[in-house]
Amino acid sequence: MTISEATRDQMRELAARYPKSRSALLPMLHLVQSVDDEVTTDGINACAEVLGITSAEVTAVASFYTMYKRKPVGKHHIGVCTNTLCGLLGGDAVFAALSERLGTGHNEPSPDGDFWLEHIECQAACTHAPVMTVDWEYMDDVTPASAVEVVDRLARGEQVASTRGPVIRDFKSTEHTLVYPLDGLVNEGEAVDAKMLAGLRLANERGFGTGGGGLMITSGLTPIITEHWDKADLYTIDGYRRVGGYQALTAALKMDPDAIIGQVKDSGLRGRGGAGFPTGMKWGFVPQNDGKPHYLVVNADESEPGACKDIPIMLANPHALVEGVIIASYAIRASHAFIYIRGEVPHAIRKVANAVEQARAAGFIGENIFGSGFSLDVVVHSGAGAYICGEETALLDSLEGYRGQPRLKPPFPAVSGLYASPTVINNVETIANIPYIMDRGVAWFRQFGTEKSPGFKVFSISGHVVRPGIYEAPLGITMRELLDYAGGIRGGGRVKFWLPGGSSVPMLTAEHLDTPMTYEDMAAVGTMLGTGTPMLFDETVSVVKAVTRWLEFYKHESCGKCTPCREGTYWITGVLEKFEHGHGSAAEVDTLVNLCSQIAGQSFCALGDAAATPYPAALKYFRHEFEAAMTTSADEQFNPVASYVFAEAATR
Amino acid sequence: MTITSNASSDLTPQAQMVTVVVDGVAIEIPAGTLVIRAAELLGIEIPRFCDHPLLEPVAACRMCLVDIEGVPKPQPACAQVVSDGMQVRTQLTSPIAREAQEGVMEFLLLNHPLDCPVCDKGGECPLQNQAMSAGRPESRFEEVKRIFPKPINVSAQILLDRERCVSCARCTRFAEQIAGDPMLELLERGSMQQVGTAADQPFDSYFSGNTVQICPVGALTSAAYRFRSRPFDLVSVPTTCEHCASGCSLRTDHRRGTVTRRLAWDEPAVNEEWNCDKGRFAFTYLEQGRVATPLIREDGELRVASWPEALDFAARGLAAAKSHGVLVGGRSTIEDSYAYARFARVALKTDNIDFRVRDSSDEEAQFLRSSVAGTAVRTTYESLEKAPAVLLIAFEPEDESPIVFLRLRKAARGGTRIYSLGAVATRGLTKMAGTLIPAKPGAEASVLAGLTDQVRADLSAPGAVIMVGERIAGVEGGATAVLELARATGAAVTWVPRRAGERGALDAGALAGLLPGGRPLTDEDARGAVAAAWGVDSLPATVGLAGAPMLQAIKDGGIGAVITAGVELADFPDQALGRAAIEAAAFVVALENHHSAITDLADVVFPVAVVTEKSGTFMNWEGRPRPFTQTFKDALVMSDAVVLGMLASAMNVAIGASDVAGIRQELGALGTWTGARAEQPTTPAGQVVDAAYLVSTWRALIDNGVMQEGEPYLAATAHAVVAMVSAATAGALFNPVNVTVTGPLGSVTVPLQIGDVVDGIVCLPLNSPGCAIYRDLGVRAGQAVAIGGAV
Repeated sequence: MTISEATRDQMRELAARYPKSRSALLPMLHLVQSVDDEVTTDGINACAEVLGITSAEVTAVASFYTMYKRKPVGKHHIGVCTNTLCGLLGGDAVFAALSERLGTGHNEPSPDGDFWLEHIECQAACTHAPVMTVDWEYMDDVTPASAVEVVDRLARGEQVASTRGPVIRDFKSTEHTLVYPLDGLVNEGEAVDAKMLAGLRLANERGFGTGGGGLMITSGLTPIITEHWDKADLYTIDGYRRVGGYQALTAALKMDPDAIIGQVKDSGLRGRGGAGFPTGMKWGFVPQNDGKPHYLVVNADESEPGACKDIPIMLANPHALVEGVIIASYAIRASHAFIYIRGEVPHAIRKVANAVEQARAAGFIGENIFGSGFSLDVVVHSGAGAYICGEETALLDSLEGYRGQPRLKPPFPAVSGLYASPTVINNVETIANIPYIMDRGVAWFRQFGTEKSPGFKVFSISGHVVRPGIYEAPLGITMRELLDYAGGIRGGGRVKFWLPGGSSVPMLTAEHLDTPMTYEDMAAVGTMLGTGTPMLFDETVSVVKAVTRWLEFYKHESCGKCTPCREGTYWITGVLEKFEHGHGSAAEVDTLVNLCSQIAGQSFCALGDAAATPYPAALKYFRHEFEAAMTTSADEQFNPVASYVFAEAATR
Repeated sequence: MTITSNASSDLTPQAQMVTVVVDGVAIEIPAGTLVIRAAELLGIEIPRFCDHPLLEPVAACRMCLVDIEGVPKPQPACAQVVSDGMQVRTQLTSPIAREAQEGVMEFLLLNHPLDCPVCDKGGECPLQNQAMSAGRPESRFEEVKRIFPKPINVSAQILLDRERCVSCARCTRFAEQIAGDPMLELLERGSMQQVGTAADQPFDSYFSGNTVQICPVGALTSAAYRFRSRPFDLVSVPTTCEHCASGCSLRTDHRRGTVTRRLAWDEPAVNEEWNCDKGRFAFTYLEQGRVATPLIREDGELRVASWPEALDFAARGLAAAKSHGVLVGGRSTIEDSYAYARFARVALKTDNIDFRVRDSSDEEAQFLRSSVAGTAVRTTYESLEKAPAVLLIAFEPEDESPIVFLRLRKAARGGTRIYSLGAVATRGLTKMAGTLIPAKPGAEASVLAGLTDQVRADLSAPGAVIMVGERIAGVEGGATAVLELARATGAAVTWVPRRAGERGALDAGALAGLLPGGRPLTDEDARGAVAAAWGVDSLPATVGLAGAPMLQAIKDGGIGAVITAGVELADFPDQALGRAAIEAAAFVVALENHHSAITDLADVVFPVAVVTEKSGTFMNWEGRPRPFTQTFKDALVMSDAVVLGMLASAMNVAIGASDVAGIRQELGALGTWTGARAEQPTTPAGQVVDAAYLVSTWRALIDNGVMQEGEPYLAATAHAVVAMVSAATAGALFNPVNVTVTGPLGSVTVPLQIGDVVDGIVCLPLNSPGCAIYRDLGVRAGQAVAIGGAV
């Protein structure tokens, strides 16, 4: 289909939203898919024409992001997460069942052309594993039977509701939402479910509060960001204000921006995106009075396997993020903020976009906010499927409408970031902390956690635990205590291995359950706190399979820029797949270690280092399993059905 | 208190020097230097793929990892800037660096097919070489390699074998950063990342061949050279490009008497390391359609003759004519042009000589004599790069002098303001982020006189340049207005002819009214000095005929005999006049290397050497001599100068040296003129023709030019032949898809393209397939045409 003049007008309008028009390219390509259920050559040429760039430049971008399709998707896009956690907990069986039902394989349409099946990477819903998406709306906790039933009902034209979102429409409508998220569906469905409330309800039951006094609180549950998630209208501005929302902003706007930076510095808040860099220090790097525009960019590209805390925050408490964005922008003297949200979570995008619009309507965003002289525009921007865009400089390139490949540093973003101007990039959870720090003060904040890891953390606990879900607790809490809150390992089983914060941090075993969850203590046992989103696996799981799946993920998500990551993940994945099928060799057990060392520290960005992480740690604790995999496949060593979390597993 | 001096007028800040130690050897270099360059200065070669000194660093391939003291991880030398006291250890002294490089090399070779025995790059391949120097002898990779269908065409000329690619992004960065043609991009991601184009838009860049040359593996090849030879079987000779006046250094590779390929050669002051696709790929003409022996006309037919017979025939024919004219095409070397200049004045005793086989005017001749010939080099590529502002007039650099275009684009990226005065904001101007100063053809001189204060201020800044193309000859009052503007602003004026030989021919005196070194023929002292040097009593003292008046005189019989050298009848704007003149001439002697319409009409044809068969010098637009040596040392074909020497002998006249060394000595001895220069033109500004539609036109780089014959792949990468008009103009057309443009001689029908064009102007290529407007329409720039919509 050719792109109509009306669509071109929309493209022009999108281009005008950004300081530099090319930033609109990702939304424009989503717009193309909302018209044509694929990225057509006409669509590419229309984008090129509107932006004044070449079709090759558009093609380069369109082919980088997995959400853009080169064949018609049909009516519905069906995604099944088969990354390690979802896959081993039953996603593999779900995918197999759907593949059989639809008569198609990965990234292909069904023969009737109505459905598109794809095994997708981590959807930031690990607490709800196995996860399926229909037109990118969540279908949590599926089984093979329930997944097939969803497809059957869709095929019959029946109404199907997302588990944490609205009634399913179709692929093109979701693509439209990614461009225009104020689609009137923000109030539909229940975005906050029992798993997201697990920690809060437990805290309420057991009477744990938000602490008090000047002690270093390192245990108990401390719902702060999650405190009011059980209030149905928290995501609205009225609900948020009813619990004290935007008070911090009102006070902050009367402060000297440097004093805010000072307060955040004093709080000791460290970035919650994985690297743990001190937030106040990052803000302090932004040169002031340099005559350049400053930007705040929120990294809401949560895609780390195992991490599912930013998306829940955006679903449940988006105004905390928005309020934090406004305060942070004021502090760093940014008059333009961008919230870059991965494209695969339309309902989170709706919630945040709605919050931004409500904040705008209430006068918290706009010109001369409450007479403070401070003006701010906030743009909610949808990504298009690329884990690498969680790397901050890749995110900037993506936000500028390029392939999401990391940039050379220096210059660092604080000096030359978005549009070569000083830019602060913060994680969602980091920013969501800001209103509380400003409202309640440094002393209050520092009573939680440790000297080097102050504060509290939204822990998403997933895997073979009885009650996977969101548990907010002080830093310094042990995994054993968190595991206890989550009901322990299912069936009274034992932890085989666990990862404190995503697949990019080295795994630990049961012997580390008493290590405090802090940046420093995790480093001391050879791992990292990472995103602070523990994944726990019981003894039914094959380490070989788990590691192979993670490497397949890194291979799939490698941006291709640097040799070690691009080629290394290709090679290691190939070797690991042999092990998974029982065809490894003794020499290769060690070769893999060497290959990982050829990636770590030699790749362009941290994604390469991350890809080199899972195997050496796994080998350290489970060498025998890799040795066994020279002759015995992972599935022979460990019946895959045993690791599924649904009852019907037993019958398969 | 520190005493400071305010006297320093040096505007360039002194680079701060730092000392860095590489492999134990200290070197003092400017701060900001990259480690890889510092190592090069010490003769330490760090292996690399993505690094290229003329491209911005990306540090993508990771091949150049080195060990820097105090830094925990190996760092890419191509992106790491030196700091004072930095201790760098390369693969030569650091096991960490060595192992890092070996690891990267092992990764690079994983998915590489290792098909060196059938790869064109084998033998000159950085991957092959560095795999030997920085790789391990054996790979541990046993898995299945990634494969791609091969090869794919990224353009008609450029082929891509994706499985050989190491994703260094040199080609894509060249396309974006240097050529400004981001039509070649990295597509996909991860291990499927690959170079490619849009589905429906090939990599039709005028500079595409450079990507083949800088590809550090055999991924990019040219259709013209693919599978033609092995690099180690080739003999390489440095040479100068004969196509345009950019003056690129090239390397000609040949085997068994045949040129197999040409490459851009490293000449930082001129072409850096680039050239255009015409210079690279258009060389088949060297061998095709050549005149093999002298020919003489007998009973109305040309027949083969011996050299003595033909020389005698020509001498007698010339002697029989009362008056003569000499037409030197713009392709001659300085040495050959000088021989013509001397032959005309001494042997033929005439000043009827012109090198401008194209649109020309008296005003232009006055401009060239007064302001260009024999002037010292003032504007150079390097000064362009530093110029605060450049104004282009009657000049489309991407088509007419592509390396000037690349340098202007580089300048523009560095902040130079580019203005182009004309009717069209071209693709090239857009790529230079330039500003169009709109002027209808014919109105240029008046627009020049009324430039905005902003433009005048920019041109008044020290270092500003006005670049004038050869098409200024077709702009009445144009050269006069340019000189006036230069006087008013202080901007330097530089003339950029299109053909390689024009600037040299001008300085050699191959123009009526002009003797070698910029000497005005009308100046008695100048004339006397040259006569003395040439050993004759006197030289013609009145300015001879040139341009159209000379053709008219030949046609009318006022000039009886004509010598042509590298002349195409199709190059005359008034083709009927050109043909009529040659047909009417009593006697025509053609010194040509190819059979053509001229040789068909000639009475005597002498074969002369092409550039590979002789040595010589082209003078580029800067005025910089660009000497070259004979590629084929045993070639027997004689240069124009040698043939002229023999012809003079046959006429019993001595015209001095006819060998290159001898002529250079003569030219050197004459030197350049320091006396009073010829008068500048004072032509009033012309008028715009009163018509609904006027033509704006110039020659596309890749077009019907005879030196591009036999190169189908090159021809297929030409820019689309279209009629470009403004949206308003298109809106008034009956059928704005294809348009038929009609002139006195006929019509062409070409696709319509809407662009940033002055209303009422239709922009057409001058000599492209399906649109050769001198021949097909019978109009030139600024003349009226009719346009009708057509299906």
